[in-house]
Amino acid sequence: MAAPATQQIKIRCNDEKEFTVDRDVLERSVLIKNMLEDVTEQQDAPIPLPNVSGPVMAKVLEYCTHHRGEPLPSADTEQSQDETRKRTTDISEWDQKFITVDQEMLFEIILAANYLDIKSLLDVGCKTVANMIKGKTPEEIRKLFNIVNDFTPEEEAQIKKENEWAEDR
Amino acid sequence: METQMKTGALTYGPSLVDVIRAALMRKFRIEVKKFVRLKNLDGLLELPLDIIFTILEYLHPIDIYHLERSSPMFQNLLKDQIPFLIRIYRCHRVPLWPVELSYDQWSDLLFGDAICDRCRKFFALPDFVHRQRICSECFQSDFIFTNYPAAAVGMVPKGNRDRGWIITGPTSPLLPPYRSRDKVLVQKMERELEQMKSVRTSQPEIDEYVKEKVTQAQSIETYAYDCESWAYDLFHELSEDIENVRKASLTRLEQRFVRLGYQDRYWYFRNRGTAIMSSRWRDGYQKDNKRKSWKITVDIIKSSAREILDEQIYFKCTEMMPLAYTKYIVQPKPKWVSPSSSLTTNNPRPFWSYPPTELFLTSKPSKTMIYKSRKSSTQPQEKRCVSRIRKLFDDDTVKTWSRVKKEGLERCVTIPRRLTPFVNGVLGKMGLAISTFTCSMCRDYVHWKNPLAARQSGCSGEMGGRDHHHYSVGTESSFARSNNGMVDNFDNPTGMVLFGWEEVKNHLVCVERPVELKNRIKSCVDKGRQLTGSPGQSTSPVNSNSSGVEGIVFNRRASELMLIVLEKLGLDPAKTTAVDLDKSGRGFLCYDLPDVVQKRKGMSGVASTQVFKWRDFVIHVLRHGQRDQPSVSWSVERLLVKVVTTESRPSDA
Repeated sequence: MAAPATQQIKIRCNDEKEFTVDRDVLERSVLIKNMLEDVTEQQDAPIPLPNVSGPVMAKVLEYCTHHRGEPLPSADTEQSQDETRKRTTDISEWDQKFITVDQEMLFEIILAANYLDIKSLLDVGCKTVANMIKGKTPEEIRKLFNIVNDFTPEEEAQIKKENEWAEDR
Repeated sequence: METQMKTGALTYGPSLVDVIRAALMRKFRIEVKKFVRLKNLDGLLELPLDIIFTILEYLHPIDIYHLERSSPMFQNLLKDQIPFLIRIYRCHRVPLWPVELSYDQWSDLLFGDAICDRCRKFFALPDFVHRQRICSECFQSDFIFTNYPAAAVGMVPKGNRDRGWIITGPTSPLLPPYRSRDKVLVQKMERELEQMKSVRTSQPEIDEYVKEKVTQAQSIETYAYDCESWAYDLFHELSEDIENVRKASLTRLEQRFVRLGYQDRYWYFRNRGTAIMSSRWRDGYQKDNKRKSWKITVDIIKSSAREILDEQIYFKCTEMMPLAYTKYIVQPKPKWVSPSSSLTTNNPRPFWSYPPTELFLTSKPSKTMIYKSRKSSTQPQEKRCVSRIRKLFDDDTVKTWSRVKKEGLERCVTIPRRLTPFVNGVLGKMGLAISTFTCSMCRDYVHWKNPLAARQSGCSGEMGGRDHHHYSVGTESSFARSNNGMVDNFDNPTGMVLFGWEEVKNHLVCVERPVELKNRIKSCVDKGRQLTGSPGQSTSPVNSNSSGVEGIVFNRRASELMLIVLEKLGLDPAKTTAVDLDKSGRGFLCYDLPDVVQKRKGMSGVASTQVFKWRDFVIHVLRHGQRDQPSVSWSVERLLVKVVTTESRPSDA
């Protein structure tokens, strides 16, 4: 039996920073939700989250607080909506503002969302990164990822040649 | 039958499919504009693979394609991820690659450069039936006809450039009609069947082979239909999106125009959607921002440059408007014309109605001449012209110019629109001969006033484009060489020199009035005689007032005319040379010319008709064939007598 929504839960990050959060906010994370469901007795000890730092957790909690009360996607609906979901990269206005962070923080949020199993936050992070790659030419992509053009002209010619028609009999 | 019905449903132009890449890219660029952009994403590569693939799942196949082409690292990452790629393709409803093709080949076909697979020229449409990008020229040259019976069977499209053959079957009904052929078979197939013949393959085996091929071809055609349908839908979907963005952008621009107090101009832009200002023009006009009357416009264009380029909203500077449109806009100020321009003496018009000019320089003017011409130029525009030409010489080494001279090459310098009226005067001063080529299809820039007529007449270039108005510039001697050495002289009452029989045969009739006097023409003729070995003729009397330049008419009528001439003379057009024509000694009578009264010593005046030689005849007809000139009627006469009396004029042409 799930505990009442107003229950306060403590969590501890890897930098020893502790947060006390409403249970329904924390239950946006499938990981924590499962942990809470597994614990039958009420405990005062904070839940350790060794893979998440304090500043990142603060951002994650900001997201979870804003989206508290929204229905969690069930496994069935998730699967059915998966295809259409991935065809669109639209992000809501609040989410866009929320995710306006530097590169390091963005990737930390994505990693945290992946670890805590917060599907919607992971989506927002991934969509943001995907939007930055979208519509770019190979040269622009190289600039974005700060990589040099490793293809030699011979290699490029080779690729083109390989992709030409070959006898398939 | 089924495929034919399907084909009927697809009624779009041949260029449709090629917009896939451009349209997708444009859409994505517009879409992602609103999102926050970080400077780089180099940290992404340190993320776990499962997260990277989660991110990649949000990308369109075209983005995956670009990602792969950006670095071998991404290429290796996605190398064996076929299930992932299939999922991406399915998510975005992009047709999957058929079994005969690899993923790379297919993505190249869909999203690759619009370059012909065979000649590497731009631009070639993806052909889903033959699964290649082949330009129309290669299609015509490489796909061969044959009468071999098996040609009627739909063969599997396969090809290999290295082996110099390409296989296709009878063209699919999905292809546009101009490309459809009934019996197309390539060498390879023929060889195969010949081989089968030589090893005495049994008829059932051949039948089996053909049957297999037919089945394969049918499945390919069906799939090609699906692909083309996809492209069709995609295009319409994207065009709607783009249209919405254009509308939003126009609204934003309207606000900007209103803020600057240029509602009237905006009205023009909004309602005369045909106005075009390509980036080339815009750049040219941005450089010269001294003229106040369009400065604001340029500022607007500058500030909106990104939007204009992204969304293809084009503008034209109000001063560049053709005359026909001026009533819709604020009348631009400049009305002056160049007093030194020979073009403007007969046809005065504002400078902005001229096209930009390209000078093809075939020889290098001496430094003294450049200095003198610059010194003697009274107009600042003339000085600018000289500077432009001089700059071209300054940049080049002596070696290059010697090569230009030796190989008959040309160096090009572009004279902008505002300087075009001054070009002729300047070149005369620089000691360069000039010849004006005018496309007969768009004579006198008719396509400005009637673009439809120009298009119908086969006029391909844009307004003032490089296809239309060229100037070839050089000294007389170099000019003689550049025209295949065919410099002839002839008796000509107008004092004009016609450049070359070869030129006439190639639809180019050159009519040049020499820049200077007799001696220059004479030297020109002498050089031409040396080069060609053609029999010289007496130098024509030259009008000493004839400084300046006449136009050269680039006219297809010339060839038709020459055919008529040859027909009337009973000569073979393929073998006849200028010498033959000269030797034939035929003359031409023009019925429309008035009789000339000649007075001789001690005799009363006798009305007589002028007899023209063939070169005069060509010039005369071409000149009279121009606008506002009545057509002339001619008759061929043997040039036995110089003067034919009125009574002896033949009755029929």
